[in-house]
Amino acid sequence: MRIEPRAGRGSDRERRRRRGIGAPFARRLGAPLAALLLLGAAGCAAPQLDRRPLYEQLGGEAGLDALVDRFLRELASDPDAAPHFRGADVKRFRAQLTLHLCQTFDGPCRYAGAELPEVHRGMAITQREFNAVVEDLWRAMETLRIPTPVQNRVLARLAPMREQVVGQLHPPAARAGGDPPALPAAGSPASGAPGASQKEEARGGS
Amino acid sequence: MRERAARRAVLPVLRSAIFALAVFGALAAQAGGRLLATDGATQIEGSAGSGIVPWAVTAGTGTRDEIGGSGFATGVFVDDLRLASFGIAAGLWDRVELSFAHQILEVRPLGEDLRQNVFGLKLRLAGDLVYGRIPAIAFGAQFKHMLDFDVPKAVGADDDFGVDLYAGVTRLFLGGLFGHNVLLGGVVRASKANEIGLLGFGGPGRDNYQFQFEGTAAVFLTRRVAIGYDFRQKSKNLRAVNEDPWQDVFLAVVPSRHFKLVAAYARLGEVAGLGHQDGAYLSIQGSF
Repeated sequence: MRIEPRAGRGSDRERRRRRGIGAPFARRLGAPLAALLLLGAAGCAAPQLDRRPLYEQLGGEAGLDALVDRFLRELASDPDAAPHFRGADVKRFRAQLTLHLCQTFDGPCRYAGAELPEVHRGMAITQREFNAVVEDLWRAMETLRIPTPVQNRVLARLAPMREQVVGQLHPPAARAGGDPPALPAAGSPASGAPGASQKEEARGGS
Repeated sequence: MRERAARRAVLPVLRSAIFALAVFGALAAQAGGRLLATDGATQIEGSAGSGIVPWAVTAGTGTRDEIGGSGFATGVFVDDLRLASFGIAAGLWDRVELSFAHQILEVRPLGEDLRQNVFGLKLRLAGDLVYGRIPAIAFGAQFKHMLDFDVPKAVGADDDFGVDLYAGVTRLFLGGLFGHNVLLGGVVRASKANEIGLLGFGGPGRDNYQFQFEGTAAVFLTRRVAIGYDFRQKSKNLRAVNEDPWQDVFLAVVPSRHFKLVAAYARLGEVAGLGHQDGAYLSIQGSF
C-alpha cells in the first residue's frame, strides 16, 4: 500500500526504511544512470570517430558532386532561397559552390572566388533565408543518406559562416556584370579543380 | 467518482490537442524560419524547453524578424497521480516569449484535483542556441496562481500565488558527441513553490526564495530523433509532506517543423505524501 496518511507520520528516515534500504539511492540515481547508459549506448552504436578529412567522408569528388546536385535541386524548389538565384549563371554558381565546399571540407581544392561577405553583399539575406538554405543542404544530405555524424560535421563547418552571409545590406560600390573578381593572388578558379593543385593545398590553409 | 475525475483531467487535454492541431493546421503556411527542432518542446509549465526544464530559447519557429508560437498538451501518468498540462506560447522576434499553461494534478487517493495557472515571460538576453560564440542566455519569470488552495493550506502552505524567477543557458553543440548533435542546458531558479506550485507556495519550514538547479542533456541520434535527460531540484518548504527532485529520461521525435512528440519515463519521487511516483510522460506540441 503506497498511500500514507498525510499527518502524524514518522521521521524521514523511518519512512525511508519502510520503503526499503536501497530505495532512496535507487530513486536518486536510477534515472541519471539510465541516462548515462543510454548515452553510452548511443556512443557505442556510433561508428568509430572518423578522422579522415570531411571531403573524403562525403565520398570525395563524386560524393560532393552528388551532394551539390541534390542541394541545388532543393534550393530551386525552396521559396525562401530560389528568388536569390533568379537570373544567376547556374553553371558558374555550381562550379564556385563546389570549389568553395571542397575547400571548406578540407578537400584538395582552392576556392579563388570572392569572399563570402562580398558574394552576398546587397542581397540582404535574412536569418530565415539563411536557415532555409541550411535546411536545404541538411535535407539533401538526409536524402543521400549521408551518416548523421558526417552531416553534423558539415553543418559545424558552415554554421560560423552565418555572420558573413546574413544581413549584408549595402550593394558593393562597383560590381558590374555580377562577376565577382578573383583575388589577385589566388589564381583562376580552373586551377583549383579537385586534385589539380598539390602546391596550393599547403597555402590554402583553412 | 474516480472515473469522473479522470475524465475531467483527460478531456481538456484532448480538447486542447484538437484545438491546437486545427489552429496549427491553419497557421502551417506561416511557418517561421528557425532550424528544425531548435525551438524546443514545451516544458510542463508552458515555457519552451524539455520535459521539466525551460530552455533559453523562445517558443515557436520565428527568427529575429518573425513572430511565432506554439501550443502543447502534456500528460504525466504516475502511480497515484495524473498531471495534465496544456497551454499556448508566443515567441516575438526570437527575443521575447509569453506563455500560459493550465495544470491539473489529479491526486487519486484523495479524489482531489489541484489546478494551477502559470503565466510565463522569458527574455533571451544574448547568444544563440546554434550560431555564434555565445550560447543562448535567457531570463524568465513564471507567475503561478494555485486555484484549489484547500489541500495546500491543509499541509501548511502559506500562499496560493508565487513567482518563480530563473536564468538559463542552453546550447546545441553540432557534432558534439561522436559526431552527434548534443544539447546542454542549465537553469538556476529562485522559487517558493511546493511541487512547482501545485501544493502552494512557502510553508512553515521556510518562507523565502530557494535557489534550485535544473539541467537538461540531450543527444540527437538523427536530425529528427533525440534522447535526453532532465533534472530538476526542488526545495522542501512543507513539514507535513516530503518533496523530492524530479527527473525524466525522454525520447523526442520531430516529424516536421510543426509538430513534436515527446515520450518519457518520469521519476517524481514523493509527491503530496505519496511515495515512489514513477511513470509515463507524454507530450505533443504544435508550433509555427
